[in-house]
Amino acid sequence: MHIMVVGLNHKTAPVELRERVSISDVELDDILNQFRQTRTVLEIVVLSTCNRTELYAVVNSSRAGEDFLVRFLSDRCHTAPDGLKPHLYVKYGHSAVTHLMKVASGLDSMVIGETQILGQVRNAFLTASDAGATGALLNQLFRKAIHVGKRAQTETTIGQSAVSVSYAAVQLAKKVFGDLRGHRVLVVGAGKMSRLTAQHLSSAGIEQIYIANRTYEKAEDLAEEFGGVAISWDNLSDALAEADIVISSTGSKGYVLSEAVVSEAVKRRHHKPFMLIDIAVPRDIEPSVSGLRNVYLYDIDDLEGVVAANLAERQRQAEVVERMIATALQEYSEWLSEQEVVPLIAAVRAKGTAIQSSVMESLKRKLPDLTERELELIHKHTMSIVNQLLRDPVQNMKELAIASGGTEHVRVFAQLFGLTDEDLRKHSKESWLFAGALENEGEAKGFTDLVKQWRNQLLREPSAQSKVTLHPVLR
Amino acid sequence: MLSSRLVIDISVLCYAASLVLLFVDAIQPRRAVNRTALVLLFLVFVAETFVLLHRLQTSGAVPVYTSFDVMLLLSWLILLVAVVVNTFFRIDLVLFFANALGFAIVVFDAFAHVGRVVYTARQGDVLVLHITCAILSYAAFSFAFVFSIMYLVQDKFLREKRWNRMYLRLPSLERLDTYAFRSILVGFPFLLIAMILGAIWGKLTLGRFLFMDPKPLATTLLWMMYGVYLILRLRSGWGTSKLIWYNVICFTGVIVNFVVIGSFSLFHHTL
Repeated sequence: MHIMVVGLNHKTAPVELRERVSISDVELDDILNQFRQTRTVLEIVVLSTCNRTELYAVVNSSRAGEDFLVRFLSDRCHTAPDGLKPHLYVKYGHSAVTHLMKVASGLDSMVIGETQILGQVRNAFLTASDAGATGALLNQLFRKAIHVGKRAQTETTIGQSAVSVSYAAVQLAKKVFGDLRGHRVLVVGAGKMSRLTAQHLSSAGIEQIYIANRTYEKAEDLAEEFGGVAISWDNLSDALAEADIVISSTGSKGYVLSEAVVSEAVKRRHHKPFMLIDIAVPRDIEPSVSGLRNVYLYDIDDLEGVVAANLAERQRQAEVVERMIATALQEYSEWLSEQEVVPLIAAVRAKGTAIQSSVMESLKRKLPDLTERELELIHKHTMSIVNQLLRDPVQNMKELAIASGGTEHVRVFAQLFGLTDEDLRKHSKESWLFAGALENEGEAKGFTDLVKQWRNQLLREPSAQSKVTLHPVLR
Repeated sequence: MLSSRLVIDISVLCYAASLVLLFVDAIQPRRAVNRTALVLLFLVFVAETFVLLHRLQTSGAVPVYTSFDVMLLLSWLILLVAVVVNTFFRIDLVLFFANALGFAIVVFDAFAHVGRVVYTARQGDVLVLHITCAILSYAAFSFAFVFSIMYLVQDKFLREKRWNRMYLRLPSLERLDTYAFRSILVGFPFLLIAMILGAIWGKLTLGRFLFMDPKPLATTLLWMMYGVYLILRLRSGWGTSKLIWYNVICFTGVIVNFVVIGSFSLFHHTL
């Protein structure tokens, strides 16, 4: 039994390949059905967005599963599997689980911390589970991953800070003006940086963009692109008084906006807050402007400073999310181990109850004169003996399973209580349990042999004591 | 009385601890720290509620007749509003700044011993309403002050280009200014109502309007100062830092009116 992921994303594959592999919503149901009919793949979730296509699967055999999934993807893009392989990643167990959680919380995205991906993960999971393609393992896994993704969004500020200079300008503007809608921007210079910043500003909600350039035609071109208004160079000082935010990035050698010009504009706008962002080198705006009241002047170094601060902040937040993921992985492992031990406990309890009821039967035969009330009392007390005897073993089985993440103990305990594999299977609701663990090993082993084998295994794994142990499915 | 004294002392300690934690959280955000601070704040809130209810029970009247109660009620209101605002509107760091003020009031209240004066000539509902409205307006002005301080802090960061974590968490200047403006918009009519009710109360109990007393005079002046703020703010829009400073000055007026002027007044004693 293995949990695995096969996929490609923006880091491993170019867009030509991603678009060929990607799976549209229309095809999804058919594909999920197709997977359901195979015996190789037991559970599957297909996550396909513009930046990634990933197949999360539970498979019986890792090699067959990997071959099957890689072939599926290479068939989709009509390439030989070997040609596709360099662009693929295949992860098993805990790294597959961690990968999914990173994806859900936006750590694996192009823009770290973006929130859209969480909805896409949720949809992928719901579609698969509606189609009946998931089982207990992936259900629990995706629930956990979506939970982690939500926590990352609500408990950290990852994804709320800018990491590029042009976007840092927008973030600064937001820190002064709040919502940018309804504010006016004047872009001085029509170069590459101006375009980039104007792009960010217009996607941040700014509707009125004025563009001034020494060559009027260039200003017109850029204005057309963003639905802005081109301003002739002579009207610069008028436009300055109208704008709330000024972005300047001309190639001029000297100052384009002197202190006198800016202070005139400040007066004309009745000292309302005025933000000037100078991304040109050499600088366009006279530095002494920053001394004016209600004027906020930033140059390229200041923006770099914002970016550095934001990157540090993101790093801190990403660490917090990583810790959340580690916890969630551990919880998932504990859940798996618990599931493993549940049938054993049920079987042990059933055996206890069976013994008690057979004792009651023989008692009834030997003492036929007992009244209903006396029988009731005896039943209660014998049941209590069974329960008290089993309480500690059951508790310890649970704890040992969680602490060691192992299935080995299940066999030892089953033998200890004289339970057969058949008994266990009767009490296990989930088909994945014991599929591997019990069948692979030879039958007909004595208890002594089993304990010896178990001890040897414990001796071989020194890690069992030192660090947290994961369930075998996740190793 | 002894038990409520003990409760107050403990709540002051809790309040101080919570404030320290909130400060740590403002500098180095940690969820655990933030949660602990919130729990402590809640304890303070419960304690203050307990004291207020206790005083309601023992005196048999709404606890607004001594300056001790009035200040307790004021800090209780600030705490309540801060927690509600923090929960529903997610204005980051408001909890820290508002409680710095609330804490100052509680400490002053608990240890300054100015407020043992009981108001004479109780006259039922009108007086209660008068005092309640005054407290509400003071609470609103307190929040205007808190937001103004947050504005000035954020403005300092923006001007000095200090991109620290507090800068990242503080809201934008425009938001802070709007919050301050709205707080005053709430406090302004309450203060007017309080003044009118006070005048009516004077007429009812003493048979004449009390205009020449220092307290009504100072309060009218204060009310006009806030009126000037509102006019300027409405005319020029948000964001002139001069107006924010003026707002801070208005609040010092509130404090002076609250603490100092009262001692010269015939009818307000320490308030």
